[in-house]
Amino acid sequence: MSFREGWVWWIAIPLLIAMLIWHLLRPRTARQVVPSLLLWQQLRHEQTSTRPWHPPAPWWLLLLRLLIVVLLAGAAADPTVAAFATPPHRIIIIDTTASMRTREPAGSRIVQARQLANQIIATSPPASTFSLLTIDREVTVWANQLSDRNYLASLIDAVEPHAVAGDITVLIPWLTTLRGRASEVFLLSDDQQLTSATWPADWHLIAIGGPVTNQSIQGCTFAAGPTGWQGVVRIEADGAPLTTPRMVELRDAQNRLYDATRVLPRADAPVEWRVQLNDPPPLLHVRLMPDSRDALVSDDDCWWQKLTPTPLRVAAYPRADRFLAAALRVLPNVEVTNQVKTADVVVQTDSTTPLSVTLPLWQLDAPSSTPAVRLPVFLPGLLHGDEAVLDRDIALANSQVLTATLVTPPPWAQTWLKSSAGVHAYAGRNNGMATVVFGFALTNSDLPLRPDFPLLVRNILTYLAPPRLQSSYQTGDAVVVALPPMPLPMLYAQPVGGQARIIPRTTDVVLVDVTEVGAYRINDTWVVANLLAPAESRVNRVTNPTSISATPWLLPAGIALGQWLLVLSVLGLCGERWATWRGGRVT
Amino acid sequence: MVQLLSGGEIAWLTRRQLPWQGISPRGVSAERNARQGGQRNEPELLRPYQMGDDVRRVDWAATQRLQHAMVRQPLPQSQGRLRIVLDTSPSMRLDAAKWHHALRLVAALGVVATSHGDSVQLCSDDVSPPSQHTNGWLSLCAHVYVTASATQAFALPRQLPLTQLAVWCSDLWHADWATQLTQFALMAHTGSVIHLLSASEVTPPRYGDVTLVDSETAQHYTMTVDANIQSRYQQAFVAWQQAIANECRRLGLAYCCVTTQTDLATALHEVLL
Repeated sequence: MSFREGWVWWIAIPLLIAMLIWHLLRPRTARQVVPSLLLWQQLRHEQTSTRPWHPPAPWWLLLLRLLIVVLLAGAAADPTVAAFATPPHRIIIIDTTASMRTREPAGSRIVQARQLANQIIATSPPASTFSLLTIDREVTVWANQLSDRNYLASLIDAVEPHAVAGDITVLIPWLTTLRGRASEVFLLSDDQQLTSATWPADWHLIAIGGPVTNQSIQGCTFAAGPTGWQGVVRIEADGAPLTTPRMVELRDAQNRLYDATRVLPRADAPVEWRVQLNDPPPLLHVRLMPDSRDALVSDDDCWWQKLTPTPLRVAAYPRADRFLAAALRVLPNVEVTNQVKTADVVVQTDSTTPLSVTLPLWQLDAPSSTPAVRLPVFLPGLLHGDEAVLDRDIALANSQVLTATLVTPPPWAQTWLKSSAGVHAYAGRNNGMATVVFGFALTNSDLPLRPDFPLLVRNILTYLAPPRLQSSYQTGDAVVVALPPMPLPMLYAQPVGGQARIIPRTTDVVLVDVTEVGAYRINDTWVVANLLAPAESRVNRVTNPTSISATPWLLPAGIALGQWLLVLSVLGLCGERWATWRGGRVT
Repeated sequence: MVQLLSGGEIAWLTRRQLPWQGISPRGVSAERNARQGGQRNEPELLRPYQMGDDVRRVDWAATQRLQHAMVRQPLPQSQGRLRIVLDTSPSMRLDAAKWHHALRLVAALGVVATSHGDSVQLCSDDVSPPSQHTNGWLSLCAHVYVTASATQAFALPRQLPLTQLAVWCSDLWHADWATQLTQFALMAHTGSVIHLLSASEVTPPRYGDVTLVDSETAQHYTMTVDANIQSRYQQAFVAWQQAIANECRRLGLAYCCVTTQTDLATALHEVLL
């Protein structure tokens, strides 16, 4: 425990000593002239001695007075838990789900939320610090314990709702980790589940807009059929069933309309829309057009090209390509399978068409009928931009290929491998879809035998399906701290507030206790532990937080310790006055 | 000049009577004897005839006996003598309210006496001559109120003739109060003691650690006056007051205790009873 106003004790301690001396010294008695001592002398009262000091009588009265001074000094010193003073801290959480785009007569809901957030900041005490968070399917920390209000206003203006249907339920466990902290939480949301949940009494739940009903497309599957591409779009209402139909559209990346229909989403049974396309674009976007009375729907799941799930499932073809399969297995976070499913990354090393796969992201065969070139001598590649990741840590120029065909790079591609005869491999993004094309089969080369072959596969997979998850830790995991050359004691901030000290040793690995739920900070590194829900693992710390600071020592009932001390001292003072009056003492 | 009594109080006092006034057996027999022409032993009833006197008031028997025309002087209904002894010790002067209250009581008793023709004598620092006039009596009381010595120890006057009624107004804060009561009882046929006390003397405040100084002897006494001592003091005070009352009863003196919070009418009623 510490005190914000510690100088008070410099006054209180001399006062206590003075009070003690005052009681030990014999006070000069007052003179009172009375008509006669006739009766007083009959009382045979024990006369006081002539010594210059005397024990305080009664002793408990002196003790009570000293205690009152201590209590008053303690109350004035403002006891705190930690060592540093802190202004009040307010956490503003803005719902950025798609429903916040709903337009209302007072403006869109996100605009209302921004206005409320700015109003909260404007009406806060001058020394307040703020944390700004947004929640949809993820939690993003825009600002943590900042006091620059202009910067906070710019951050609030930059908050935009995402085109996703909010899955707020997974965020409730994350928000509960904030409970118990000495911060004031303002939650601006239009989600009924949040507003109807039981939150601490000191949380401010500000409901924006009326009842919210999200509609989302739960899934869409497309398959190449005999006569073209067939797709099934499943549409489901998250909330109450809708009373009016909604328009569903299919658009490409350039927002060109391919098809449209009207559906009536229901909460219990999804609506399926079967689509038949003869020449679909590589990417097709399924959009559920909102009504003016509805929140905007999610379109995250409506790209018919699914994003790579985790772990990355890779299907290697042909099955006999054991070199490729072995190389894929050694890669982290990759699962090799023979079953082709939608959204799998298909590694195809020959011209055999694997079953009815939708479209391989990684096309290794060369769709060319030009004569093959035997033993081509590769020249160093000239990849740049996003494609430069393909050449990272490897050197394909000295690899040996038995036969290779020539390929013609389209305008959207960059040349990767070429020889004097022509181009043998290229890479690029075809309408946003990453594509790599080899003019030779891996089994006809020595690449699988090279030590950097796993790196080649890693680079290609990273280029085709970049990892989306950030590193995270589970409860009890050991966090390795990189030590400077001259280790010094370090402080790390704990989720519950306060700091812990690390005393590193040069020869040992230092392990940090991360058993507490929440986010830790070691130097400038944030570590999130005990991730109960997937959303928690995607906590992005945008700004550097300020130091962990002290909070008032709150006792039960939410009353600070200083206020309790003040009340006790007043009660003690009343008791002392009563005892003094009862005993007829004036000293 | 200090006005101890207001006009209304004086008017009210003239309607009061001392115990013998109006119902005194001596006064009744004298009047009856006067009507029946009997002997009158009081020389003040006769005086020489002067021009203008009513001839019907000539006392012929006395004229014949004294060979001089004598007339019978109509006298007031009562003609007793009241002696008031006022304690002027420093303890009486310590509390101004107490001293003022004592003088008001003394003045009121004198007004009652003089308004009915009785003479009243005040014994304070000095023994004043008997006064029969109300105004003169009030002037005397006002003079004593201002000029009485505050440092002189009080002593009962000695060798005074026996009087009909004596009233002693004192706080009796004397170690020899019993002896002084005995001396006072010898002053008059009838004696009355007014025990005048201030409120702080009845219930002293809780002084705390205090050095008490005797107002008469200047003796010091250091003690702590708390609730316990206060209670014990009150017990001692009741015992002391009861002892004074018993002693007065034994000496045939009337006793009444009056505090400074007692109004004049109530206090005078207590005294005259």
